[in-house]
Amino acid sequence: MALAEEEAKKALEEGEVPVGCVMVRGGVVIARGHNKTNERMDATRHAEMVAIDSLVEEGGDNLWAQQLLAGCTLYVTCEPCIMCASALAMLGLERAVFGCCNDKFGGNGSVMCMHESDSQLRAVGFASYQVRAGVHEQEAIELFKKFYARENSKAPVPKR
Amino acid sequence: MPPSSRAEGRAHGGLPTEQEAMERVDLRIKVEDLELMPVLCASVKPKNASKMIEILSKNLPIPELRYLKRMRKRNDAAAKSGGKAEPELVAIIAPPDIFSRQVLSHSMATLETETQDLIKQYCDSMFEEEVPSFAPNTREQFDSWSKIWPLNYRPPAGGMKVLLGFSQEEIERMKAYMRRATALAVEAVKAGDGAAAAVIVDPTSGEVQGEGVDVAMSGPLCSPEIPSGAQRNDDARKKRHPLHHAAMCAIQKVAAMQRESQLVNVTSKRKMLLQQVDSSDGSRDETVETAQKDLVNEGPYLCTGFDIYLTYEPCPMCAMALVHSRLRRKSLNHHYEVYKGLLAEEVKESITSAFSTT
Ligand SMILES: [Zn+2]
Ligand SMILES: [Zn+2]
Repeated sequence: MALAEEEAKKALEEGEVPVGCVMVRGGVVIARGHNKTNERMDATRHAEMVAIDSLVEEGGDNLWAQQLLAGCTLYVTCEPCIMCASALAMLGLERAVFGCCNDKFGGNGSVMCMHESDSQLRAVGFASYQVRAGVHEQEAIELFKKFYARENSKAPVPKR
Repeated sequence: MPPSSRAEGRAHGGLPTEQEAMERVDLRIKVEDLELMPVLCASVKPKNASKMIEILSKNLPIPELRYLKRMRKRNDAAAKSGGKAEPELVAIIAPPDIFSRQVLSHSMATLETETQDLIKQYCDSMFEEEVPSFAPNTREQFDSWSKIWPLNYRPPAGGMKVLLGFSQEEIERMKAYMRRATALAVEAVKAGDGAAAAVIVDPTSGEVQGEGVDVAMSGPLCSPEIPSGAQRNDDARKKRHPLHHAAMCAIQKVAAMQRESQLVNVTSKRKMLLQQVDSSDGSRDETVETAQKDLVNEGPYLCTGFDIYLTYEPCPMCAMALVHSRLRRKSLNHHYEVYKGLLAEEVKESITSAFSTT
């Protein structure tokens, strides 16, 4: 989780919403990523997607959707959104561990439960995975606070 | 999300018009249940109503509560007086953040003195009332929540059934984009990719901003109608990015294009600024840095207002990616309008025949 926070801090330094993650398999970090939505000018470049992209880029011959993240644990500072949580289900993730919840778009319990695939979703290739919330929650929230404090100081003073 | 019968709207005999064949789909992340929140209210005599509305809109606008009418009739009072006397009115004075559940006198104290005086002059008693805490998502919610407090926001009527307000010209344009998506899908099938294709369009200019096909061969996930007989090349599949569904590819194309044009912008803006700075004696680096920051701060939501045409209904990942990218949306709740069934038969036939010839 500390490594995920390190990634999130990188995002913060780059002026991105501070979310970071690492993927671990058999005790080894196999991918890391932090939010790059501004840099890539692409609102889908969340930390999880960036990490997945790096795994795909490394290639290997195991890009089969349901195996890419088999046996992996994802550590991420903020609950994956519905998009990322769906991607994780498609890629056969074993476990997701996250810090704070994502009330607006959370796909691991806050808004939807993409990690609990029903038969309909399983039929189209979604697998289920375990989820653990609230690990280093405060640290994740602190990073968000720092980011928003910075953003607000940049914004013009609202009339009121 | 399973594929559903795509031409349900078809009438017996006779071809349906495009308007009938295309359906509006109610797709949203979640239809939230009613939540109430307290607001600070005041009763207002009917003769003061228009003055009060004026004061409130001028001195105390509450943009975040736009979906609520600012004032309503007091039903209980009307009932008591047997409907004879004109009923008193109830006005929303302050939202919960000013109000913050404090004692009324305290919350009044947070208002400006001038406003306080005006309110005292035109209002009688003050009290707390519960109102819906966000705008309704569906017609049903609108109808039932309106009984709690009258609402301004009217969600699109009809849900699944009705398609409103497209001119024949617009329909023709939409058909052209859908045909373009179909052609892409047919090519993709021939090249051994999945049958889903996406075209992102800026409706104000009519220009295509990005396109993509299902390079992931997501199969039932995102291109559900691959005929079971069709043999796909599994070796090729192993080498594919498993998340490159059609919509994801199209969004990434738009991003790539915009990064490119931003580079051009930055370069030309920088040149322009350098010229300006050279002729004055201002601090060069600072100006350039500000310009770059401005450009970056425009944010990543660069599909805002764009439309997307897809040969197949997107999977949950792609659907959420569309929400993140702010494709054309109607309300602040990150919802977008979805229509299905445009050229459904034509898309299906083209793709099926592409499969049978490969
Ligand atoms: Zn995400
Ligand atoms: Zn998809």
